[in-house]
Amino acid sequence: MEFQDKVVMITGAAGVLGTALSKRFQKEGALLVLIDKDKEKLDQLAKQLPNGSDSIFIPADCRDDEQVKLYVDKTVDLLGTIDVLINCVGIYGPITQASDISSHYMMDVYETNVVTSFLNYKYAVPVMQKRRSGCILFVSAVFGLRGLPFFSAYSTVSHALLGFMKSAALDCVTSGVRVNAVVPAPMKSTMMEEVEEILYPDNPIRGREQILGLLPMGRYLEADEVTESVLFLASDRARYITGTSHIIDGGMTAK
Amino acid sequence: MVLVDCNKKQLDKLKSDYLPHDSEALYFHADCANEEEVQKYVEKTIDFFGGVDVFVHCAGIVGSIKEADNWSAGEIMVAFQTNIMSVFLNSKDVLPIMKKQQNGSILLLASVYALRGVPYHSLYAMTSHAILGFMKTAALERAHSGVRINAIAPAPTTSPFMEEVEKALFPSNPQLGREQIHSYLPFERYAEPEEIAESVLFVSSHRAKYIHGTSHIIDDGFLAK
Ligand SMILES: NC(=O)c1ccc[n+]([C@@H]2O[C@H](COP(=O)([O-])OP(=O)(O)OC[C@H]3O[C@@H](n4cnc5c(N)ncnc54)[C@H](O)[C@@H]3O)[C@@H](O)[C@H]2O)c1
Repeated sequence: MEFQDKVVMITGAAGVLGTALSKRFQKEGALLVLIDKDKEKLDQLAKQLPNGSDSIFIPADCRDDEQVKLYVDKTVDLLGTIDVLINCVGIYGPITQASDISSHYMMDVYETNVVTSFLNYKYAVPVMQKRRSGCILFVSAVFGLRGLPFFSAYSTVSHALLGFMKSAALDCVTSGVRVNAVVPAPMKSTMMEEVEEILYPDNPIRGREQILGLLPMGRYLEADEVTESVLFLASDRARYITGTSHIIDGGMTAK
Repeated sequence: MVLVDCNKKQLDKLKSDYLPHDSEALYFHADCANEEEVQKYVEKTIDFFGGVDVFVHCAGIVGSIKEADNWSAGEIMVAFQTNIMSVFLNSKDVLPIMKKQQNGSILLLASVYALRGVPYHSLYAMTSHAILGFMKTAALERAHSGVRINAIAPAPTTSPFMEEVEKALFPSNPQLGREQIHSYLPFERYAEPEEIAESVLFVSSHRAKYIHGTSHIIDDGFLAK
């Protein structure tokens, strides 16, 4: 058990990726701190986790400075530290031409995908630096490395996360804290089901075919395939890895 | 394991000093850039083990250290032969086997110099970049075959290879060369071979089965700045 008694905080924990990560890290013996703004989904997650009672569930909005500070403080009070922070909060935002996006909606995506990661980083990093050890992971997406028509908002924030990650990693090089990003291709998820429907409301199957057409392996990435990379990067096996984007995309960015 | 190197002395040492005596391994003293020799060791591997599940290509040279306009055509050809031709020749023989197995993972050791420039390393940077071009293209051709191809891009790593670079930078005082290189590495130390090995193990395993056509960077933030 590679993460025995390590404190692992996952935000957006009740989502598809967050759930897969919670299960996987629990198997490795981690003490989980699971954050999500959706209380109902968080309760469901509690029921799904085999040792749910050993984990801490905190319904909170990661966009809110005070709430983030509060749950980071609470975690330190209860468990003493944070060893690993994984930021999984994110939305895909408006799927339309760039010129049709309202500034309000653009701001919303920015707040949900970037500001949340920033705030969690801001409050968790001093805790880690005090112990001169820790690992922070951001979840970007292949659209942080390339564009796609109608996805300019999502692409903007995915790029922004990588920019933040690189500079933050350099801020941390002498303090023992590693900062990296995973960069997944479209993943089998409720998120992608919604995207398929938005693309072709009358025939989501066509939306799926169109997206799968972008993927050289011809299938979606599975959440379980992302968790293995996260586990690796968070472990001591990756102790020389910081400031990098770990791409899991079946060859999508090779073309 | 099938272990190939053109340095007989080091290969013998690997066998006698590092690996348990009962470990089942084939050792080939061979030149990875020689078409016939590559064919021979791949064939013998198939005879003995019946397949190749993972192929890790580490053979390579750094060449000398100098300004981009100072290379001779001969030096360029030597680096091409060792660093690129060897990638091609080994892939050429290993890929069809993996394709038939519908399973396999190829890892090509490139370096951070494949993703940025560093003064006086133009030849090494050139061949490192080339490896990624080959890797990405081969990956797209094999995306449905169960065969995965990726590259590893490490920062300078503790090795005789880097000792040579240190000497080339400051022939009279290699220690100064080391300090200079350390000063541009954010952790101010080299990567250790064991740290690279962990990534190679991860990317070649089934846990990385959607990782394909990518460069796996191990660089303490060197490329982030
Ligand atoms: N699904 C994909 O195809 C895909 C691909 C690449 C990257 N990603 C990224 O991976 C991450 C997770 O994706 P997913 O598919 O699991 O998404 P998801 O929608 O299933 O999960 C996101 C979770 O975040 C929570 N959340 C949203 N806003 C929040 C806030 N302000 N505070 C707290 N919690 C909040 C939601 O309640 C939800 O449970 C996202 O950042 C996404 O951008 C997803």
